[in-house]
Formats: sequence, C-alpha cells, structure tokens
Amino acid sequence: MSEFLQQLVNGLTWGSIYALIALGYTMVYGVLRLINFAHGDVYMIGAMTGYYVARHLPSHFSELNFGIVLGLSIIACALLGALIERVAYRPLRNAPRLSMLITAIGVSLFLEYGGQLLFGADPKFFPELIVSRPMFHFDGVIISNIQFIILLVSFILMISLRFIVLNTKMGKAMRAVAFSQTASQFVGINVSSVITVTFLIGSGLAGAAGVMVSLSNPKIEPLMGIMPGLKAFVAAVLGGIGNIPGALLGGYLMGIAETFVTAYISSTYRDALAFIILIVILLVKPTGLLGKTVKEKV
Amino acid sequence: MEMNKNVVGARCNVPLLEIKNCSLSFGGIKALTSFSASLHAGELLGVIGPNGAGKTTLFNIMTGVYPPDQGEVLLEENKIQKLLPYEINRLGVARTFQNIRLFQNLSVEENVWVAYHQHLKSSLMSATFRFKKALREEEKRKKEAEDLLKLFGLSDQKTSLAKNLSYGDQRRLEIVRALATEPKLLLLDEPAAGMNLTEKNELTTLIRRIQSEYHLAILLIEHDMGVVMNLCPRIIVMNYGEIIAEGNPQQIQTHPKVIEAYLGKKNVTTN
Amino acid sequence: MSQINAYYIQIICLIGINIIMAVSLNLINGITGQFSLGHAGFMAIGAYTSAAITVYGHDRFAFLPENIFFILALLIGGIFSALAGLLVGIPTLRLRGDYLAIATLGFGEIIRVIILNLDFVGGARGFGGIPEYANFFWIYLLAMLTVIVIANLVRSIKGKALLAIREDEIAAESIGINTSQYKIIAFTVGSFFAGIGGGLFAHLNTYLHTNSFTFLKSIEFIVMIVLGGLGSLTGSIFAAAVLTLLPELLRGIGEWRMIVYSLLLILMMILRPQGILGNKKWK
Repeated sequence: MSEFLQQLVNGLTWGSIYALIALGYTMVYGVLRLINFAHGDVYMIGAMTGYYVARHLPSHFSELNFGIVLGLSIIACALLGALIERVAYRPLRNAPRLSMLITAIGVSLFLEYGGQLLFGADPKFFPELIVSRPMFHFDGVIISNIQFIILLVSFILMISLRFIVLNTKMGKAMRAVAFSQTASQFVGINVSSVITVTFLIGSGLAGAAGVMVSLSNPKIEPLMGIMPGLKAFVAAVLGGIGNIPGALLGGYLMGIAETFVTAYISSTYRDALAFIILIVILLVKPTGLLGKTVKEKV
Repeated sequence: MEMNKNVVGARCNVPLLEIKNCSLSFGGIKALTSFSASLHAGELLGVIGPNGAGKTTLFNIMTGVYPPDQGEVLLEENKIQKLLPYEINRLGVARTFQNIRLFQNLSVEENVWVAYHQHLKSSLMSATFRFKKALREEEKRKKEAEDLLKLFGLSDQKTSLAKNLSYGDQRRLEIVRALATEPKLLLLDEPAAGMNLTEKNELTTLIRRIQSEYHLAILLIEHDMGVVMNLCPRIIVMNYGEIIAEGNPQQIQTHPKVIEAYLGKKNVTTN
Repeated sequence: MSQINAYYIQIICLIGINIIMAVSLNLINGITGQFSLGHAGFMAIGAYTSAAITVYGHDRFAFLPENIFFILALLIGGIFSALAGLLVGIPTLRLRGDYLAIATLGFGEIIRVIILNLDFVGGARGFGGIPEYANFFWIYLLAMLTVIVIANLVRSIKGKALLAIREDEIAAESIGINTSQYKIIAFTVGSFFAGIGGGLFAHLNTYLHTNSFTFLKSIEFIVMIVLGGLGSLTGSIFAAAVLTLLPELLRGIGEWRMIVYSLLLILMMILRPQGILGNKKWK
C-alpha cells in the first residue's frame, strides 16, 4: 500500500509539471484555436534561463535562489511567448488555420535548433539549488522537499490562475474571447490584448514548469521540450482542449498514469502511453473528459 | 433529364412523403413537437413561421441530419428517419440550405457534375483508368449538365468558380445542383433570403417552372410572405415546434393564431 | 568526379520519391480536405515491409528475375500501407479538423514505435543490408504513374466527390455522396502510394531507421504540399523538388541549416500562406 501511495505522490508531482504546460496549450487553443507546437520549447527555454541565472547567483540561501530563478524564468518565458505571438502568429490572424499551425512548427524548430546553436547541443547540468532530502515521512511514503516545492508552487500558480480567470475583468475577457472572437469585439473587448495576456500567462507557467523539473532532473538540453510538450498536449486533449480545469485533470491523470505504468508494467512503454491515451480519447470522446460536444449548425 | 412523369396517376392517394408525430429536443429546447404532415407527388407545400419555429429542424430530420427522438418519416411508405443523408438523397429527396452550401472552389459546371455522382454506373477505378465505357458515361452526364445549366441561365458562367457568382445566381445554382440528383421531392430552405424584389419574382417563376416541368413535390420554407402566398396552394404555419395552422393562403392570412404568432395578441387588421 | 555525379543522382532520386510522397499526401489533405499528420507512418510501413521481403526473401525467391521481385516487394509494401490507411481512416471518420490531425499524428507515432520494437527489422539499431534495387528509372517511372493515377482520379466525375467533401461535407452528403466511403478511399489510396514511396526509399538508401519516419518527416511533406498549394498536383511536384534541394543547398552552412529552414517556413506562411501555386483556401 505504501508503495502505491509513494507512486501516487510521484505521479502527482509529475502531473503538476504536465498540468502547468497543458494549461498553456489549452488557453492558447481556447482563444486562437491554434495548437501551439512551440509551447514545449518555451518550457525548455524556462529551464535554460533558469540554468544561466542560477549559475550567476551566490551559492548560499538556496531557497531564495530558487525563488529568484523561478521568478526570472517565468518572466522571461512570458515575454518570449508574447513575442512569438506578436511576430509569428498575429500576422496570420485571418489566414487559414493550417498556416498558423505550420508557423508554429517553424517557431518550434527555430527554438530547438537555435537553442542548440546558442546553448550548445550537449546537455547541461542544472545547479543544485535545493539539496534533495525527505521532508515528510509517513507509513513508508516519503515526500522530498523538492516534490513538496513542486506541488506547492504549482498549487499556488493554479490558484492564482483560477482567481484571474474567474474574478478579474481580464479573466472574463479571456473567457469571452475563447467563446467567440467576433462577439467579444462587439462588446468592446480588445481581442489582441487578451490574446497577448493569454500567451503571457501560458508561457510563464511553462517556464515555471521548466525550472521546477530541473530541480529533480538536472540534465537539460535544447530538445528536452519535445516529449514533455507532446505529453502535456495529450493531457490537454484528454481533459478537453480549450478547457482549463480539463488541462489540470488531464495533466494529473497523465502524470499518474505514466508513473504507474513505469512502476508496475514497463518503462519502455512509457512514451507510447501518451499516444495510446491520445488515440483512445479521440476515438471515444474527442472533446475530452470535460469538453462539450458542439454540433455544427446545418 | 428523365424525371418521374408516370407514377403520379396510379398512386395519387398515397402520399409521397409522410411525417408522423415527429419530436426532437436539443437539450431542454423542444425544437419539434408531435409534428405530422403529408405531401403528395407534384404538390407544392409552403412552411412558414417565426424564427426558431422549427422549420429548418423539420428539414433536418427529413434529410437525415438528425434522427427524431420520436416519430417516423416515410418516403413512399419507406421509413427514412434513421437513414444517413446520402442514403435519403439516393431515395429521391434533394435539398437546398438556408446558408448556401455550394462547393465554392469548384466551377459552376463541376458543382452540377458532382451531383450526377450517384447515377454513374461505372466504378471509380474504371473512371481513373479511363475505360471507354466510363468516359462515355461521363460525357453523357456532362452534356446533361450543360443542358440543365442552359435551361436555368447559368451556362455562360459554367467555368466560373461558384464563389464568384452573384448571390442570386448562387441560390439558383444550388437549386440546379439539387435537381441534377433527379429527386422526387425537393426541399427549399429559405431560397428567397437576401434577395431583392426582382430576384424574388424570378425565383417564384423558377419554382413554378420546376414544378410543372419536372412534376416534383416541393416543400418550401420561406420567411417572405409575398413569395409563399403567391406560390403555395397549401401552407403550414409553425410556431414553437408545432403546427398552429394549415390551409390555403386566404385561410392562413386570416387565421387568428397565425396573426398572433407574427404580430402578438392584439386587434390588428390584415390587408 | 563520379562521386559528385553519384551525389547529384542521389538527390534527383530523392526528389522523385518526395514527389510520390507529396502527391499522395495532397490526395488526402489538399483534395479531400482530411488533415492527416501521419504520412510518415504509412511511408515507414511500405519501407520496412518491402525491405523485409527483399532481405529475407532473397534466397527463397531467387528464381524470380530481380526486377519482378523488386516490384512485387514494393507492391506488397504498398498494400500493407493501404491496409494501415484503412485502419487509420475508419475509426477517424467522425473526427474533424484539428482532432483528425492529432489522431493521425498519434497513429503515425504509434506505427513508428511499434516498428522500433520489432527486432527482426533491426529495432533500435536500424535495418541494413537492403539491396539497392531503386534507381532513377524505377523511381521516376513510379512517380509518373502516381501522378497520372491521382490526376485521373481527380479529373473523373466520381473523383470530384473528394473535392466536394473538402468543400462542404454536409452538402456532399445531401447530393448522395457517401462521404465515409470516399474519405476511406482517399486514405487508402494515399497511403498505398506512400508505401510505394517508402519502399523506393528503403531500396535507395539501403538502410532504414525509424528516426527517418518521425512526426518531423510528416511535417516535411505537409510543408511541401502547402508550399505547392493544397490541391495543386503540379504545385506538389514543384515544391517536392525545391524542398528536397533546399537542405542540400544549405548544407554548406552547417548548424544554421535547420534555423534557416525554420525561418523560411515562418516567412513563407506569413508572406504567402496559400503557397506558390495554390489558390484554394483551406479553412
């Protein structure tokens, strides 16, 4: 039983990472109907930014260092996301959706190979900002301080997002734009601002995920965003693409499923699991667990 | 084009189309409630009603877009309410759409060619490998398409893309395309929408002509009172998914429930 | 000198194969409007199937003249790919737009992972020792056949049903077109030719690794048909040539190659989203 709970904790930790990335996918899809292929690479940039910032900090006060690194990475990624939207996606606002998709792929490739050129293709080792030690210990289940931090920070970020979406004017505007861009314009919402904010938030969350994952998996390299990006995307589809609580649900389910498959079945099928989940959900309920089916008006 | 010139006489008393007690709800909204009606071969029936009365829903259950929750739709005594749209068309029901659904990036003639699809006996493979028989059949149908377009005044524009046609011409093309499938029953969904007076008159003439030349049964949804009263000898009035009146134009125009539905409960005189 | 010639011939052969890939993908995406992101998977099946036949069946079928043996292997590869197309096309019938794209992406990756785990075709080490049966003649003969067959398909009235489905599925159904049947035909025929292309690739390269058939490869083909214009077969041919040459021309700049490629992608979309020869919009 304790083994089961331990895996559950591990799964929830990974789930937090996937959920944070999935949120970015789902929010951008909600307002632009775009699958932002470059999102996983923003997560990578978060890790890379964190790496370079961390290397220039004095090595005492590790928790404070972590805070600084996290904050700066979030800001850097948020700005990067907004920049990408402004430069690559906004010009295609009225073009066929396929064009935006291909542009997103172009941006993704640019970040990956540009990253290889800029940072070097070899993996780097994220400085140990926080030394891993057990924090909570009960019944044979250990929660390390790193896991606790990931869960806590993710929780805080998610609650903040919920507050923004439900209680602020901008949040209402975001929901309106996700429902209908045209109608939003008619009620005076500045759709472009809303889209920019969506990218700011979504990319910031991805950056946070990138830094936090590096705490426990310090080996980082420019192509590290591909698989987690893909899995987080599947998680977003699982929960219902465009649906924010869905992204959370999907992310945690993905993290838990992956952990359990690795622990109890085999690790070689870990990556295939995401695709299997993808196919199953698309064949059974394509709109996702929390999504609503919208019928085309004839 | 050969159409049903024969069957009408012998089976005049059996309706071509029968809708029996059809109901359909979308979530909590009752789009159609126990709707029943029948249509004979060669008849022209108009369906009117305020927005949201359920008119297009009616078309949609007749053409297999949605199955009704309850009730049946019978075409020549065959149940069609659970069939797929393409199957229903192959049995002889063609339709036009409220928002024109032409194949925008295909030419005018290509739009009509595709409608002959189901009547082509040669397979896709024989057409791909350009067997003589397949090619001859295609030529024959292309000629028929040409004649049809000429008949309806669209043959000058036959190579223009459908999306480049004027609005009135697009509506006409949609009707021509539907006719090319050689139907027994033609459903027209607000064909006069967005037309000016001249275009409406042309449309009225067109529909009368189609009815007399092809002996089609026609079911017409329309908002425009002038067109309907002018054209249809029998009219059904719907509101909130139900029939509130049925009769000829005079009866409908003076029917209190109809007046109420359109103008509200007041003492209003109609002209 | 002969080394340089061999290099050029290799490129030209690769262009021929990519023409087959682009045109077959265009049938599914550009002509029928079904957004498929898994074309590399069908290519892989054709490649590995035909290679397995020529490698393992070499002795058993030594009585056959080499050419016949090769063509048979290609055909069987194509048929297996077509079957895969059927298997992908049927369950995804009710999916639209983005959902279909994601599903086909998933299928493509699953195919790749399955092949990766098959030891008898090399697994993670790759599959080598494939006889070099493919040459300029075979490749361009099959490329021409592919283009002619698909062009004739679309020219025929029955074939235009595919275009109708792309333009408006609901209207297509309303004029008696069995859209499900035709979507499956598009997937099956498209993947058949992708399998032929894969088989040719295997016998040109003489070595196969699943890394050549990732999602990125599917994207390369998508870029080709978008650049050439969705629905335009001549455009696909042209774009296949250009986009096969481009990485080679950029080879001189080493690490910057992919960066320039990705920037070109972005610029092309921003400046001319309908492609060079395209005029049909895809929503």
